[in-house]
Amino acid sequence: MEPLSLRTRRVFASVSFILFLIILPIAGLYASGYRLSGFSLVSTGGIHISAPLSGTSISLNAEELERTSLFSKTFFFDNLTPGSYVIQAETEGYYPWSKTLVVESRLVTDVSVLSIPQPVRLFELTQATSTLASVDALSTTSTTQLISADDYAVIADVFATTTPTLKNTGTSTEEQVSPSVDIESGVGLVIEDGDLLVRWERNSNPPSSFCTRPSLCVTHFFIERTPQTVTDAEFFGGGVIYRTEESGVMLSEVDIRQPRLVVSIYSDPQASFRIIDGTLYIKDGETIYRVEGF
Amino acid sequence: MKKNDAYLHIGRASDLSGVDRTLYRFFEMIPGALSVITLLLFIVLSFFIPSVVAYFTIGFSAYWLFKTIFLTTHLRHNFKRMTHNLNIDWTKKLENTNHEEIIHLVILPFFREPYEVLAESVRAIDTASFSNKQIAVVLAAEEAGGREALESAQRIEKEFQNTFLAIMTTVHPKGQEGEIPGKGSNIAYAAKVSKEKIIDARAIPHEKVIVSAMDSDTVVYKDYFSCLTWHFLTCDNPLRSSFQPVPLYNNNIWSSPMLSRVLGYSSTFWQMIQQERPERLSTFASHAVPLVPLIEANYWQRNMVNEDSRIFFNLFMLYDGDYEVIPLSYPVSMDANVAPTFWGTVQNLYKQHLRWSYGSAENIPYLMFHFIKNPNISLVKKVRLLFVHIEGAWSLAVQPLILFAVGWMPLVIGGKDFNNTVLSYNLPIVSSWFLTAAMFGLVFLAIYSLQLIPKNPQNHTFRAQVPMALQWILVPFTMVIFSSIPGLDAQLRLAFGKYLGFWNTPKFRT
Repeated sequence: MEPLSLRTRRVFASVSFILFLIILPIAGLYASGYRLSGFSLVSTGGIHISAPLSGTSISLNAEELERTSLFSKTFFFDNLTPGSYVIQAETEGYYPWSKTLVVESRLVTDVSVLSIPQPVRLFELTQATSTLASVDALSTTSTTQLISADDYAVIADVFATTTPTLKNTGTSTEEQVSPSVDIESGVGLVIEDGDLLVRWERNSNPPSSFCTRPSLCVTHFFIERTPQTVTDAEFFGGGVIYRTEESGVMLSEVDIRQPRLVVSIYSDPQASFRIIDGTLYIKDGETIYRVEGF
Repeated sequence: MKKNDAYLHIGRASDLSGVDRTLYRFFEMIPGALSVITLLLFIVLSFFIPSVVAYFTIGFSAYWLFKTIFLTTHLRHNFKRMTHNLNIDWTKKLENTNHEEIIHLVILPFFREPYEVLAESVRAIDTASFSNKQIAVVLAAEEAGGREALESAQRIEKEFQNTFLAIMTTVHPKGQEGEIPGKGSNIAYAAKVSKEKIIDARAIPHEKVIVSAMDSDTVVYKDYFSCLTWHFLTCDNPLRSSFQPVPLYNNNIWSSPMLSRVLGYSSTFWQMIQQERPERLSTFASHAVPLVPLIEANYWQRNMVNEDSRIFFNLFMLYDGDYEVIPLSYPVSMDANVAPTFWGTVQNLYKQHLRWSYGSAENIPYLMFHFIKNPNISLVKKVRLLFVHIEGAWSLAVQPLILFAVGWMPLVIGGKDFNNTVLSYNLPIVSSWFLTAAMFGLVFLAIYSLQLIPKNPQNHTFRAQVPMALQWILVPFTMVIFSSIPGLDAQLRLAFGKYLGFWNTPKFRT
């Protein structure tokens, strides 16, 4: 039996090379977002969505496309011709979320779902007489929770001695008169004349939540710009928690694109909030509530 | 040696002086420089033009797929050819040839290998179909190997005293000037001594003698010498040809860890592919060379690590490009690289691949230097050979790293503008299509390895075969850890003049 002849090998090599040359531009165009439509090439874009919870149904233009699981919480929808798309996310026990997104040619519109429990559960904190009682009480689903007198005192003290708006962690440049009251991943939270806005504090390109479309981004936008007056604000639970003198404590997502999910957490205008060790507390008069589900 | 071949046995730049030394030193830097520049380009360009790098990575993944298909066709054909050759009655085929005139001088160099390893190799020569009276066995010991090693050789010599045309032990003296310790200096010494004491003492014509330089663990198959003799007698120019069997690492395959098996068979498959592309083939591990050219080349180089491939290039240069390697497509069996512990095995495998990679790198300056010095070799041959070896060394070190590391750099350092593009999202998707398709090539490797492997001496069940098939999933990992990294390591050592010394692969059997 003879080795492969030079001729046979050259045929193999030529066929492989020709196939490679054919596939190369096809792969390149496909990867860039070009698709064949009839006999013409159309340029497409895509949407990349990430959702924090398992069991979230993701729909595009009212058609369910995916469902998140423990191992799969981000999806890339490609082959989308440029235009507007309505994307929705629904999770049992959470507020429905939706966005109208603009898809552009060869670009990807990136968006993250904000999951807010529905209803938001508040537990009234009650001082226990012993530590043991507080442990038992925490494991129940009662709307009241017993905590130790010491823990209660700590929380009450935070409400009495601090304010959430004066952390002043942001940087203030000459143009940016108002300092940030909170900052997270380069995004500053600013209260300016009773309005609440977020501001991109870095010199690099802002994240997709600052972009009405992938190619059009702003450096700041308003979260709350109604006649209501915002007094306190802080990043919390993937969004921003704030208080207005008129409507009480609200939670809003931080995204310029509409519709923006805004949920009333506690509607009494007299209420105030604090975030202690990652937990949200609301105080109304002498009553303190712990907010669950975040 | 011919007068005009003063440069024939250059081992490294320091063997030369003046301009020649500078030139050779420059050539030594080329393999490492090409690999490092390629990898750096990927990283730097990922900052500035990530899209171009992304397109290149996708294109490269496609190239990898077609290369896999192309090489698999070669592997498939060689598998069929080797199976065919194993079923041929080579003794019968030798009828009507003057095979009775041929003498095989078989050199088994060893250092401190145990008696059992050497004895098995000699036993296989004894039971081979070719007449023992035409085979002379040389046990090539090292003085540095110590008394125990010498006693093993003497024991074997005694056992097989009247079995062959001759059997002798040579002891390569240590610390010879101009030599580095290792297989090259040992077999060169053994060949020279045995040529005088066995061949010349019996007045055997040199042109009738084939020298087989075996690794000490080489176990020949029954018809190996018949097959080799037939090829020697029937090839176009026997005294301008070396002969290369297919190395199978089967001796201890069932007691080897998965990693050793995969790497052993990967080497085998690469050699099988090369057997179908003889113009790219150079001698490797156990090989055979006619005595006449061997004498004219003054035997193997004594001053370098990888004498096995270098002897081919020595002869190629000596005969102005009129020298070739003839693939036998017939196997010999050797030991898979194993140490007493898993970590020891990993270290040995790395060192072995470092040595092989170093060999492929250090041949490049040798070729370039000789091609400049030798006007008698055709330009086409020079360009082709140089391309084959530069591309080979570059591929070995760089390709797996492009596919599994630096090719993905645009995603990490390409910036937000790039990360917002469909191209950025599709880079891993489209590349993985090609790479996944290329992974189907592993199925062929699994099938062929299952057919080449000997029966498990302890467990014949189907269940015992399963790991032998599944082990091929390790290939992407072994490509990076035991191909790219030792490849780069070897090339950088050569580039910086940190020359590698010989490392004897320990032979260990459970």
